[in-house]
This record gives sequence, C-alpha cells and structure tokens, in this order.
Amino acid sequence: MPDMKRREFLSAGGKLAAAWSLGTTTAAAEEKPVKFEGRANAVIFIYLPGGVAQQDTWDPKPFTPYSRGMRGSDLLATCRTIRTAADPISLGEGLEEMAGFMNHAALIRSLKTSARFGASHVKAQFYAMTGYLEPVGLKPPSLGSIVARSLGPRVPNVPPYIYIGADADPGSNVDKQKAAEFTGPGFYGSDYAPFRITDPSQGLETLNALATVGGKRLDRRLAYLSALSKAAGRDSGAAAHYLKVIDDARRMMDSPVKKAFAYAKEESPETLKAYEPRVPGGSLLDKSYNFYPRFGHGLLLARRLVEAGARFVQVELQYDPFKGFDMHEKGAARMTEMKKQIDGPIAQLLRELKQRGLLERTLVVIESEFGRTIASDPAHQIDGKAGTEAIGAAEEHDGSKLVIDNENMYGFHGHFSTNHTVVLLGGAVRGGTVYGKTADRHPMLPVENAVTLPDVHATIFKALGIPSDHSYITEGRPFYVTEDGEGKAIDEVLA
Amino acid sequence: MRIVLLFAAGMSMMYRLPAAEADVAASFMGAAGANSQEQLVSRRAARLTLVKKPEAPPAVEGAVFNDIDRFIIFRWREKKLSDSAASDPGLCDDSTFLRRVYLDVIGSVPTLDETKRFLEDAHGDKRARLVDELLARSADYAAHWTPFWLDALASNVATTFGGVISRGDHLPWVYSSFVQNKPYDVFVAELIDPTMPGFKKPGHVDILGVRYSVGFLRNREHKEVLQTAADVGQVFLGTGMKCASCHSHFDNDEWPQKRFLAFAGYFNDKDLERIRCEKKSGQFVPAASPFEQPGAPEAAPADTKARLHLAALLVTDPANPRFAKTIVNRLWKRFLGLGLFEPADDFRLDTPASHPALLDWLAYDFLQHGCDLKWTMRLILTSRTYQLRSDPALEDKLDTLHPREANRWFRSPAARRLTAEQLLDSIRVVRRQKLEDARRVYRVSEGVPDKLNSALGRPDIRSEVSTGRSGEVAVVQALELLNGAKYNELMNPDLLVTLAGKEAEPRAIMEIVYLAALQRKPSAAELALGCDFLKESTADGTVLLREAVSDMLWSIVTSPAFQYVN
Repeated sequence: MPDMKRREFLSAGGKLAAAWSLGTTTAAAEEKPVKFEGRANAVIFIYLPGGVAQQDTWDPKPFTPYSRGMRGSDLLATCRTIRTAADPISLGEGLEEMAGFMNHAALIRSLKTSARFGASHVKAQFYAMTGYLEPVGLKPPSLGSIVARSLGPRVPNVPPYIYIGADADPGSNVDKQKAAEFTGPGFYGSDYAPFRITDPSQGLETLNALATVGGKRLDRRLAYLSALSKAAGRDSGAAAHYLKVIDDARRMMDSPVKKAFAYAKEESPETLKAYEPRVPGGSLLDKSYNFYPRFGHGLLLARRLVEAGARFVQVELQYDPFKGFDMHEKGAARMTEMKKQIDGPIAQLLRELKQRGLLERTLVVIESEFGRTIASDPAHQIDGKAGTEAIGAAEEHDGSKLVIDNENMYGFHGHFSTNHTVVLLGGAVRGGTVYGKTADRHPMLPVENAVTLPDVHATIFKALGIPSDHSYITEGRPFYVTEDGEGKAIDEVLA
Repeated sequence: MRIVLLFAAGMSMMYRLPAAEADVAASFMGAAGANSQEQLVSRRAARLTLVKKPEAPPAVEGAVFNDIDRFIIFRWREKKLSDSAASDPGLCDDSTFLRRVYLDVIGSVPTLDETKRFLEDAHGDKRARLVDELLARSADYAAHWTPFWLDALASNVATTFGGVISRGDHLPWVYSSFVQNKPYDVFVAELIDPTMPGFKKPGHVDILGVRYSVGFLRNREHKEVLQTAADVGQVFLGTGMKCASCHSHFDNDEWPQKRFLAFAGYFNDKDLERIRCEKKSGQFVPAASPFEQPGAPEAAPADTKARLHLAALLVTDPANPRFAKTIVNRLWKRFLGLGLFEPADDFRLDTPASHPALLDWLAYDFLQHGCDLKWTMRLILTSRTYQLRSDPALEDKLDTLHPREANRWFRSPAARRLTAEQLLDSIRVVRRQKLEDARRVYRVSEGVPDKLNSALGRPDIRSEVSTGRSGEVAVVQALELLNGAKYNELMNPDLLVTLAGKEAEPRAIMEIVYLAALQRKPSAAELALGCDFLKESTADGTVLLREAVSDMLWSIVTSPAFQYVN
C-alpha cells in the first residue's frame, strides 16, 4: 500500500490533483456542519479596538463645548448630534457618510457588562471576541471560529474565517500573543483557525505557481515532501501543524479568494480612494498610529472575499495601547480624527454591499471591547496608596470631582466596562432600530432594556441561524456558543 | 550577621549584610563616579560576596554529564516520572546532536565535510569538543546571536518610522561585542551607562548628509522615559512593568505605579512626577531600585549622566535578584525551547520557575564565572539534558491555562522552528556556498523589508523590543515558500550535482543531498522514494535532471525535518 501511494504521488497524471494533499485530513473534513440557515449567510465583523466613546459616536449625548475649569460631570459629548437616514437614529457629528445607511442599521445601546476590566483592554477584548470571561479553564473559540465551525465554508476552498489586519508575528509581546489566541479557534483547534492577512495592500501574488516552476512541478514537489516526511517518521505536533498549513496553502491556490486579492488592479482609482480615510496620514495627531490605507483596503478586500464566498471576515483597526480609540489625551481632537479614518471607508463598504445586492444576506457588525466614560479624579488615591485605582472605580462615578483645566483633558478618558453600543447592519437586521437607552448623565448606565454580551452574540448567531445553545464537546462536556447556552437573541433588532 | 529575606516565593535570593555598611556601599559605587570594565569586574567580585551561595546540586542516581542534569533528574524522581517506561528518553544520535548544536551555536547546519568528520570521529569526547570548537568560531557565533539582540534592543537602520524616533542601529556594536565575548554585565552597562568607555549612541547619516544620533535609551520626555525603563525591565530583568507606567499594574500586585516610577527615575534627569490620566499630581517619586540591593545609595544625583550610571550599577549588580537569572533563563530557553521561568519576559513572584534551585544555581555560577555567556552556554550544551533524544510524546508544552503550575520536565527538547536567519543561511550551506560572515542573512538584508524574510518571521521594522519570535506558521507565510520567487531562487543544486560525479546517479545524488541537508544517510525507504522521484520527474524528458534535483532540494528543505531543530 505505501508503494501504491508513492506511485500515485509520482505519476504525472490526473491523480496529482488529489496527491498534493499531505494526508493531514482532520476533523474539519470529517465533521459535517449541522444544516443551519439564517437570514444572513455571511458576516463582516468590523472590530474597532481601544474602547470607542459611545457618547461621540453611536449613542450621542448633548454637546458640551470645552471651557477651562469645567467639571467632568458637565462633559456629555465633545461633538454635536446629527440626524441620519432613519429618524430614530442619531449619531455623533463626523459620521455623516455612515448616517446615510442607518435605515439598514440597528443600534444596541444598552449592552451592559458586570465585569470590571479596569484598564485591561486585553481582558475586555478576550470577552468581546469569545463571549467568555477569563479565566475559562479552557481556551474558548472566537466568534469567527464558532461561525466557521457551525456553518462551514460557503464555497469550497474558501476559508470560512478570514482575519484582516492583525500582526502576523506577535513576537514576545504577551498582549499580542493573547490577541492571537482570543481571535483564534481555542479548543476547536487549527482546523477552525482564521486565515490571517496582515496588510491587504501587499497583495498575494504567491497564490500563483511561479512561471519558472509551474503547477505540475509544484505538485510533484509537494507530493514528494509529503512522502519523505512520512518516511522520516516521528511526528511532533509542530511538524504536523506545519504540514497542514503547507497543505492549506496549496488548497488556497485553487480558491476563488485568489481573485479577491487582485483588488488593486481590478478596482478603479475612485473606488480605492473611496475606501481610504478622509484625513491624510501625515497630518495625524498620532503619527505613529498611521495604518493608512490598511483598514479601508481591508474593508474592500472583505467585500471581495464575501463575493468570493467567504463566511466570516473580521477587519481590525489595529490596536496599540494609548493609540487610536484608546484615547488618554486630546480626546476630542483625536476622536474627530478617528471618525475621519473610519466613517468614509465603512460607508463605502455599505454602499458597495448595497449596490451589489450583498447587504441583504451579509450581516455587518461594528464593535469595540468597551465604551468610555469621563475620567474620575485623575490623581486618584485609595486607602492612602497613591496612584491606585480600584478596578471599576471609573464605572460608577459622575465626574463631578474632575476639573478639566486644560484642553488635553477634554474627552472621554475613562475605560467603561459597564456599557457600550453594538451596531448591526444589513442582512437579517431590522433597519432604523434603536434598542435600549442609556442615562444622559454620568455614569451613563443603561436605563432601558439592558442586554448582556451573550444576548448580543445570540442575536448575531440567530441572524445566521445558529441556536445560542449550540455546543461542541470538549473534555467530556458540552461547551456552548454563548455562555452556558443562555444568550437570548434580541428579536426586536432582527427582521 | 543579618539575613534579609527578599520576597517570599520564587525569588529566594538572600543577602548577608556585613557589619560595616559603609563597605557595602563602597562595594556598590566603586572608587570613582565613572564606570569602566575593570571597575565593573572588581565590583562584581565584591558584590558577589553579598549573595548567598545557592544550594549544591542534589545527588541523584543515573546518567549525569554535569551538574545541570542533577537538578533535572532530581525533579523527575521527585515527581515519579521515572515510573513510566520511557522515563529516560536516552541520548539523541550523533546526526541529531550535530545539527542541533550547529544551529544553536552558529546558526546554520554544518557543511558536508564537517558532517563527515564528526560522524566518522570515534572518540568518546567528540560532542564536548565540538561544543568548544563551535563556541570558538567567534564570527559565526556572533552572527547567530546578533539577530536576537537586534530584536531585543529594537535596533533599526532607519532613525525614524511613522514620525517616531527609533532606537538606532546597534548591529556593529552587538556583533563586535559577541565576537569579543564581552562579559554580559559589561555589554549591558555599555548600553545604559554614558560613563562606560564603550558607551556610544549609534549614529546615522541621512541622504542629505545630516548626522543623527539615537540610542537605546530615549528620555526626551516623560513617556519615553517610562518606555525606556519598561524596556530595560523587560529585556534585562525579565520583568513586565509597563502596565505600571500610568497606574498600578492591574494584574500583578508586585508593581504599584510608585515602584515602577522610582525605577524609571534613574533614566531621567530628575525624579519623576506621578501623572495619572494626563493630570500632574505634583508628587515626585524619588528614584529607587525596585529591589532590595544592599549598599545602593538612597538618593539619586541631579544629572542624567550620573543617574544612568547608577541605573547601570543597579541593573547589572550581582545582588540584583533578576539580572543574572533573566539571562541564564534566556539561554536555557533558546537551547531547550522553553524557559525555566515563563514567560521569559515576565518573571513574577506568583508564578514559580519549573526548577527554582537550578535557576538559582545557574545564575550564581554565571556571576561567578565573570558573566561569561559562553561559559553558561557550554554548561548547558554539554549537559545530558540538552543532548536528550527528541520525543514528541515527552515534549513539554507551555500550559498557558495554568501558568502557576510550571510543569516542565525537559525530558525532550521542544521542536523549534528555524528563524529566518538560520533557515536561509543553512540553505546556502546545503548548496555548498561559503558561510562568509559578511554575506550572512542578518547583515545582507538588514533594513530592507523583504517578503521572504517577513514570511519567515523576521521583523521588517523593530518598533518595540522583543526577545522571541513566535515560530508560528500561517498560510500566507507558507505560500511564500511554495511560490515566492526569492525562496525558489535558492534551490540551485549545481554544486551538489557536480559532487555526485559525471554519472550523477540518483543514488549518489540522494546520499549527498541527505547528508548535506539532514546530516544523515537516507534510509532504504527514503532512498527508494528519492530515486523514484528523480527518475520519474525526468522520465518524459521535459524536466532536466538539474531541475529535478532542485525540486528535491526544495522538498527536503521545506519539510519539517529541515525547518525545525529537534
């Protein structure tokens, strides 16, 4: 039999197409996804880490201009409120382009979390991405991996979970390693790991065999590589994983995603431009936070990938501590700038999804790990210990102790675990809906229809037809797609 | 004599304070206000007398090459790992050892001639001799260690990226330090202490001829000072402090903001003010060592140079409980795949080392032997522990879910993916090109972002310090191996084919390629497989033998057997 196999590898005939498979067929191929059917069949998940201030964006509050010596309690929003294409929805100024699509959107403004993350973005992100609070006792899968496993690929050879915009190699940075973990497959294993693209603008020429080698020789090389690795025996976990990735890479060459990557050639300059931020990179206050045009082009690539048959595409605005939406100084000015970076590109994505009839069946989600609030007294002291702040201290105060004595302090500096807004658009969403309400004074707690993160995840799953108590067995017990299977979909926001 | 017990668990280093405290203080500061290698060396000896001697290596039964093995075997016995049949995994064979030690010491596989010479050597001490031989190849040894330190220092050819000033290009200094085998404390002091004769900020001349000078230490403003202190903490003291820069560490009680700011104050021209949420508090935190270091001055001088001098003394002080441990742990992790403490950048009191006694012992031994990196490397490389057979079933895995348990036994080295530098240099050696230092990868494409190097995990831009690369492989990176022009251009087999003689028999070619790439002869099955491959590839006449050998070379060097050190 081994000999037969070898002949098969080496024959230059039709069997070669099958032969490059390195024999690492695993659970993914064997496990038949249960047939789930929802109003939406694809997701573009726009991830804006850093903690977006909801007061200046999705849940606008009355504008209170800067005046020296003002109290934190007086600062409700740093910008005006604007009207949108759907009457019930208003947004913060600076989101005018997206405002035109709010008739397709539902805003869940009352996501309430009882966990206190303090300044730990990573812990909050872990929760946002997996729906489980640390420590879990095992590695929970991310939303993308859950969808990938539950629904499988939409089109063969198109990876069901694609992640655009995270670092390829986190080095020894513990936070980045953690981020790779909580956006990954957890205990589901590498079969459901995301296909990661760091920077879409780099293209992916390597999806084609080199002219000097050609497809036939490449397949023969791969067949021989597989055979010699088997002959060498002993397989470490790392080696097995490596071979699987080589195998996946070869599969990708036959995938329709290949075409998606050629966007720079195929799209008009006007389209490319429309996906770029409305602020020149060189003029940013935060010059080291210039990922131009990576985020916007990531959205364009996401649209093309969904056209090619992708199931779940996550596009990340790269997170760096104290940068982007993690505003600790000049909060108002930086927020204006950040909105210029995201408004146009996201609106362009929605515009194109709509024009191409994709918005009907594509669910677009916009999320951050938490919201923001006014800082407490900055020189906070607890129990006489200087410089300590009890985790969650920012969650319950009204800002009256804070005196804003310079413009750098004007903005939403505090990390607000308790509440933020989740935006759903497109497929399966009841457009023009606002769900939940928050108080107009600090702390801006949910006052109507508070929901939990498992409820929000259940809503996303329901849009895709996945029950919130769907589970996979690990360590001899079921592990549910929402915590304990108890997430309740918010039917009011679904069509 | 007083005994000061510093920190309860994990960091059980004790100091004996001699009666004359003045002597202790003198031992700390040295004779003059400036530093030099000589002063550092004499101070090191004086300060070492303050450090408690570690426990002697435990007595154990079983095969032992040196004291390291005693600590390791002792833990096997203690945990009754010996009960299982596979308790002693046995030594790796000569081919495996040869490949492993070459890659670990000089960063490439051996040449064909070196391989033959070692495999044919029948002397019992040949492994230890090889270790010495490789450590003595200064240029190659330095070439292998340079990339690690370029990552760790965030060294960059460019002076700025994205408008942010970089930390300069440290390549020449790192390289020559390793060629000279500079004592490690001197190396660190030269980076921090402006009074060291070897201290020099890397310079850079831009296209307009303007000269810039940027260093590892950046301290023009508050944030830079904090970043610099956090980097020093991470890289040289294996301690994650950065979270404490604007508030107390929310995950590690050891690091209230004040403790960190006191340390960071040494990197500034004066004590640092506590700034929370962009608001100045008016409170200044006096510079102080975060660790109890007997004899350290209580007040810091009023100028930057003197403060940095003090910072260097504190960091490199033998009585600093983390300095020596951090580096010996890094060496251990490099050679065995996982550290004695993990993560190697975040030593915490609530997370024990897997072998605390061994860590103590290695650190003390390192200090005693002049902070000589090669000394400790030699010790690890000649241990039986390092030379164990690789067995996937016995490999330790980092249990990130239970970090406090530190269940690592070192019964098999972990499979480690070759770095970009190791892989590309090794491919050149396999093709029989000379491994000249000037053409080695760390040098030739330094500063030139290149898709192949990035795909293999080498950073294009080092915007932050990093002491390890993940070794993860992903689809996009794998595609670069399948279809990247640069990788494929490396598969030139001409010199190997020539070696096989005029006849170029498949069998002869196979044997040469296996020996060159994997340091061993092919098995009968491998031989049959490879000969068939060559014959059938060339059967229809469209593929030349040279191309078929190139394909073979690609398959072998792209296989896990080549891409990993076992």
